[in-house]
Amino acid sequence: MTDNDPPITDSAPPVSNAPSTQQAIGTAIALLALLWLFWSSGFAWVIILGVLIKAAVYAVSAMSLNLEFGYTGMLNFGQVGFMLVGGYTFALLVPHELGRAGTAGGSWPIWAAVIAAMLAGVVLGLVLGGPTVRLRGDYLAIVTIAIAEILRLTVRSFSAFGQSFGIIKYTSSFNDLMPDFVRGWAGSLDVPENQLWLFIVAWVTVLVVLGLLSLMIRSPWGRVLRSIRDDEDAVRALGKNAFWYKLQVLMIGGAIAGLSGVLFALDLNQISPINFLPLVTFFAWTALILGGAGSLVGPIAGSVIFWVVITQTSSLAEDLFPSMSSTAVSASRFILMGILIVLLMVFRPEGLFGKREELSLEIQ
Amino acid sequence: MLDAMVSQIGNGIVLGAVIALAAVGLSLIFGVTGIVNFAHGDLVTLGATIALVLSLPADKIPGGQDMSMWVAVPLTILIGFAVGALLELALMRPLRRRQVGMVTMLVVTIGLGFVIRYAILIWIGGSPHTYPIPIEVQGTYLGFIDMTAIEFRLVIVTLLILVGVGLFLTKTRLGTAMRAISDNEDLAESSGIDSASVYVATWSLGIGLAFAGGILQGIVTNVTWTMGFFLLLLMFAAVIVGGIGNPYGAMVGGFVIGLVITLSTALPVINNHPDLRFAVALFVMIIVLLFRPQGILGSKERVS
Amino acid sequence: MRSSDTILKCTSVRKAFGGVVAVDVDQLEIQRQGITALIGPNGAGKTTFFDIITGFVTPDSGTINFDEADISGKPAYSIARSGLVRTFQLTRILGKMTVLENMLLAAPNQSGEQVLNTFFGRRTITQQETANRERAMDLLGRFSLLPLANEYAGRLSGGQKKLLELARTLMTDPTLVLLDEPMAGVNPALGEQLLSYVLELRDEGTTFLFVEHDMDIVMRISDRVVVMATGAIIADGSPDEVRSDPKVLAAYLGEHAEEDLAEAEREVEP
Repeated sequence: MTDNDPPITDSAPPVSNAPSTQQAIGTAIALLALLWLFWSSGFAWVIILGVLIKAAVYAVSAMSLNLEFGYTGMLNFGQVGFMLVGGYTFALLVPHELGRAGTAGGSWPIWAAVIAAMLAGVVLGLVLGGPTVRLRGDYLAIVTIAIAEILRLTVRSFSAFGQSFGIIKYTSSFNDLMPDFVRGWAGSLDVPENQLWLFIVAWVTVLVVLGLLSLMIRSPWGRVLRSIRDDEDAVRALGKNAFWYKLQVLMIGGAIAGLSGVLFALDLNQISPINFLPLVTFFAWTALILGGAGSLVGPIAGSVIFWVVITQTSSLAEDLFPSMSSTAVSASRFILMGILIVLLMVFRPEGLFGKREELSLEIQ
Repeated sequence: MLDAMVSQIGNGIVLGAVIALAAVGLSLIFGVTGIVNFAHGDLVTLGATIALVLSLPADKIPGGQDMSMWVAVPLTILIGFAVGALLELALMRPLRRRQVGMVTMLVVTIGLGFVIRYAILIWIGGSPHTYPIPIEVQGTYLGFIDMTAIEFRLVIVTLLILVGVGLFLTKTRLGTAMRAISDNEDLAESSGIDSASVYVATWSLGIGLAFAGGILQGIVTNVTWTMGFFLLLLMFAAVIVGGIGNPYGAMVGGFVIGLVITLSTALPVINNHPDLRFAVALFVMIIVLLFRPQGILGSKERVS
Repeated sequence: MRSSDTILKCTSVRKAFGGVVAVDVDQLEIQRQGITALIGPNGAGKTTFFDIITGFVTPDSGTINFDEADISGKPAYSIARSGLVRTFQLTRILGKMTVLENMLLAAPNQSGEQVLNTFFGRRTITQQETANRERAMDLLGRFSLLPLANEYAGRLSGGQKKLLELARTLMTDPTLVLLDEPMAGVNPALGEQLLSYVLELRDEGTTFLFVEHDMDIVMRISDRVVVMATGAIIADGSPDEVRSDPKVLAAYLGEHAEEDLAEAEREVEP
C-alpha cells in the first residue's frame, strides 16, 4: 500500500501520527475482510469473484468521489447520475438490445464506447459545475442530487433509452475480447469465463485509475486541489483560479465516474432506471468514508470491506429474521447503513486510511 | 396550447401550495441554523405517513387508529412540532456542541433521511396509499382555475398558513428573533437573543410545516415512501428560485415551480413524457443559478 | 529611476453595504518602491479597501489601475498573478498542509499546476520544484520557520502563522504587497528582523502598502502615511506631516492611538 515511486514533489504530508501504524491497521482490516469473504463463501470462487467485481466497480466510483471530496472538498451527492450516463452511453453504443421490443442497435467498438462513456461523464461534470463552482458548496450538493434523479426519470421516459425495461445484451462485444488464457483459468477455478474476464478487467481498471490519480495528486496540480479544500479564498490570493480547478475536478471525476458506470453496466448485464437509485450514491460515499477520504487507497479498501460486509451479512439477516419479508430485511440493512455513515462521520470521518488533520469538513 | 396551459393552472397552484408549505420549513432551518436539511423530504413523507396511520383502520395499515381526518391532521402537525424540537435537541445540538464540521452535519441529515425513508418502507410497504377522503370532480374557480372543492379549500388553508407564518416572522418576538439570527447570528446574540431556544423553535416550526406539507401532498396525490424525497428536489428548486435564506422566497418559489412544472405539460414533448416536467423545474433552477443565484428575493451575500 | 512612477492608482472608489458607506476614496496614488502605511481607527474601511484593490470585493464604482493596467473588476486570482498580492488580517494560512507546501504553493509560474503537464512535462516540473524548494527554504530561514517546514501549518502559533503568511506572500515574487496588520502577534525581536527585511526588499524594488496600528513601526519605516476614517482618506503625507495633522488626531479621539502617537513622538523625535 505504500508508494514505491519517488514522488514528483515532496508534497506528501508530514510524518506524524505514526501513519505506518494507521496504514498497517487499515491493511489488516481489509485483509481480514477478504479472509472473511473466502471463508464465509466456502471458497466458492463464483461468489468471491462476484463480490470483488462489485467492490471494483464501487472502488472506481469512490475514487472519483475521493478526487472531488477527499482532495478538493467538493460535495457531489449525485454520483449515481454519472454512473448512469456512463453506463447508458456505453450500452447504447455497443451492440445491444433496447427496450421491451428488444430492438437491436449499436455498432461501436468497445474502446470508442468506453471513451464516449467517459466523455459523457465529463460533459455532465461541466453541466453541474458550470453554474455552481462560483457558489457555496451546498449548491453543488443540491444540484447533483437533483440532476441524478432527473436523469433517471428522463431515461425512464424515453423509448430511446429503453424506458423502464432498459437495455440488455450489450456485453457480447466485451466478452469477445477475452484472451484464451482467461478461459483456461476460468475452467480450473470453476467459474464462468465472462465473470473472470470482468473481474480481471475491473481490477486492472482500478489499478490504472489508482496509478493515474496518484500521479496527479502528488503533483503541484494536486497541491492546488488540496489548498482549495483548505481555503479557497487564500488560494485565489496566491494567483490560482480556484473556479477553473474545481471545474477540472468535476470533469475528471466525471470521466472516472462514467468509467465506473461502464463497469457497473457490464456487471449487471442489464441496465434500467431502477439500477440507478440514490442508494448507489450512498454506497459509494459509504465506501469512501469508511476507507478514508483524502487517501489514495482508502476508496479501494473501503469498497472491498463494504461489499464483503454487505453481501456476507445478508444471509445472516435472513437467518436471524425468517419472518420478515425480504424487502423489510434489505430495508433494515439500509437503515443500519444510514446509521453507520452517521456514526462514521461523527466519530471517525477520516475512516481507515485518511488523516483527520487534512480532511475538510467545512463548506466553502 | 394556451388552453392546455390554462387548464393546468389549477394543478400548478395546488402543487405550488404543497411545495411552498414544505419548502418554508427548509428555508427557515437553513436561514437560522445554516444547515441544508437533506432529510426534509423524508420528514414530509413521515408526516404524511403518520396522518395515514392515524386515519386508516388497522386492517388497512399496521398500527392504524381509524381516527377522523379532522382529528388526525392537527394531531399529526402537533407531532411534527414535537419531532422537530426533538431532532434539534437530541441530534443537531449535541453535534454542534462537538463542533463537527458542516459537511458532517449535511451527511448526518442525508443519513437521517435514509433511515426515515426505509423505516417508512418497512412500515407501509412500497405501494401507494390514500387517505379516507372522498374523490371529487374538478370544478372551475375564478373563471379559469380548475380544481376540486377539497383542493380549493386546502389551497386557501395553505395560503392562510403561509400568511400566518409571515405574520409570525414579522410580528412576534420569536419570529423577529429568527429573522435576526438569519441575517447575522453574532449581532443577534449580542442584542440578547438566545440562539439555542430559537434553534429549537425553528426546527419545531420547520418540521411541523413539513408534516403539513406531507399531508397536503398525500391528499392531492397519494402517500408513498418516496414521495417526500422526490418533493425535496422540487423544494430545492423552489428555494433557489425564490431566494435562499428567505422564507418568503420559499413561498414564492414554491408557487413558481409548481406552475412551471404543471404548465410545461402543455408543451408537446413534455405531454408525451410527463416525467420530464420535473426536469423543466430543474432547468429553471440551473438558469437561475447561472444568472441570478440569489433568486428572486434573496440577497447576494449569502451565495458565495 | 522609476521610483517616482505610480504603481497603484485608485479613483472614485466607493462601496456601501446595505446603506452603510464602507469605502469612499476619491483618489489614492502609490508610488513604486516605497513603503506606505495605511492607518486609521477601527472600522475606517482599510480592510474593505484592501479587499476592493485585490479583487475580493467588487466596488459600487471606481477604477483601480495597477502597473498602468486597469484591474477594476478583475478576479482576485488574476490580480494576484499580475504581482499584486496581500496578506489577511486574520491569517489564512492553509492549516491542512505543511509549512513547506504553503510556500511551494505560492511560487509563481509552475507548469506542474496544469494537469496535462503532470503526465507530459515531468522533468520541467521536477526542475521547478527543486528551484522553488530552495527559494522556499531560504525564505523560511529568514523568518526563522525552517525547523517547522514539515509541520502542519495549522499547528503553528498565531505569531508563526503571521510570519508564514508574510513569507508565503513574498514567495510569489510580488511587485506590490498589501499587508494587513503584519506585525500583530509577532514577538518584537523577530518583528525587527522582518522590518529590516522589508526595507531590503523595498530597496530592491518591491512596493509595500501596509495597515498597521503600531504607530512606532509606522513612523519608523514608512515613507508615506495615508489616514482613513469612515471610509474616506483624511490625510496623506510624510509621517511627520500626518503626525501633527489635527484632523488625524480628531479621527482617533476615543481610541488609544492618540497616546500611541504621542508615545511614538517621544521615542522617534531625536
